[in-house]
Amino acid sequence: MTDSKESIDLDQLRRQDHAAFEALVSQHHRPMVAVARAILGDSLAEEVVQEAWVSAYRNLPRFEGRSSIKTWLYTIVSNEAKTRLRKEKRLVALEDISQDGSVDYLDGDRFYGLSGHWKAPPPSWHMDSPDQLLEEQHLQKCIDYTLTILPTQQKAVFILRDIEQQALSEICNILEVTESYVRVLLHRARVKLMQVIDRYQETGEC
Amino acid sequence: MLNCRDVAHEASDYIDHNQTRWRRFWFNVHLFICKNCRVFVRHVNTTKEFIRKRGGMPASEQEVKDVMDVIQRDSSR
Repeated sequence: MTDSKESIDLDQLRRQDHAAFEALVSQHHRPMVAVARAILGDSLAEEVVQEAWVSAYRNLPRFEGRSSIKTWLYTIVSNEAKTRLRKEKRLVALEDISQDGSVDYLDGDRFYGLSGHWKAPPPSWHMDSPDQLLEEQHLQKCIDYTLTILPTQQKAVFILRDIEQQALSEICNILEVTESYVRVLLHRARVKLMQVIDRYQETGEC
Repeated sequence: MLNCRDVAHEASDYIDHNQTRWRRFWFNVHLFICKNCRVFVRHVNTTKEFIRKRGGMPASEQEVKDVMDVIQRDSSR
């Protein structure tokens, strides 16, 4: 799914070629929705992403390529979302970790209090390479589902970093959060998905 | 000296090389003596690599169509 990324011809995009633009939308629409949701919440995100696409389309002839096209798109949607947030005068505490709705796997009863040692060893995996995991179709569905239910900021950070391979500094700019906060969210998301794989390895189910 | 709880919380920073040299040294010392933490860090890293190789989901045809309709409307104004 990643191989075709960044392969869209920039000259075609600058000429506002419809087929090239459709391919661009196909590749980047969902990460853009994730960014908008992380900044604005659910209700206005789709609308803001559509506005961002209009803005991107209008400005494509002037795209100079100083950043990658996806960084440019994420910056546009981030700016649109922040502008809308100010207009709506809704104060969202972006850095309030307690609001991300997650119960941390690592904060539970998993370690002994004083020593901090594991109470039980992590489960062993019989499929322990990424390529083996890629062959499991049902696991892919479990991962897709889990991605849909991650808290919005965790999801945005995870998509931008681990799927879209954006630099931490770019993610901080796009979401206007600190690097330490991004790292916390990223780790939480990875551990949640690791738990899905744990369960799948043990039971064959999500 | 780090304990297992510390290692579990910092596993992504270790994988992504986001620790100071000193912290990484102590992290490696802990991994050397603790099999459970080696397994945990390996699983987090495998998860990260699996997701990276798998890539993102493209937008649905309907999502693409909705965007293209908005573009069309905007262009014809």
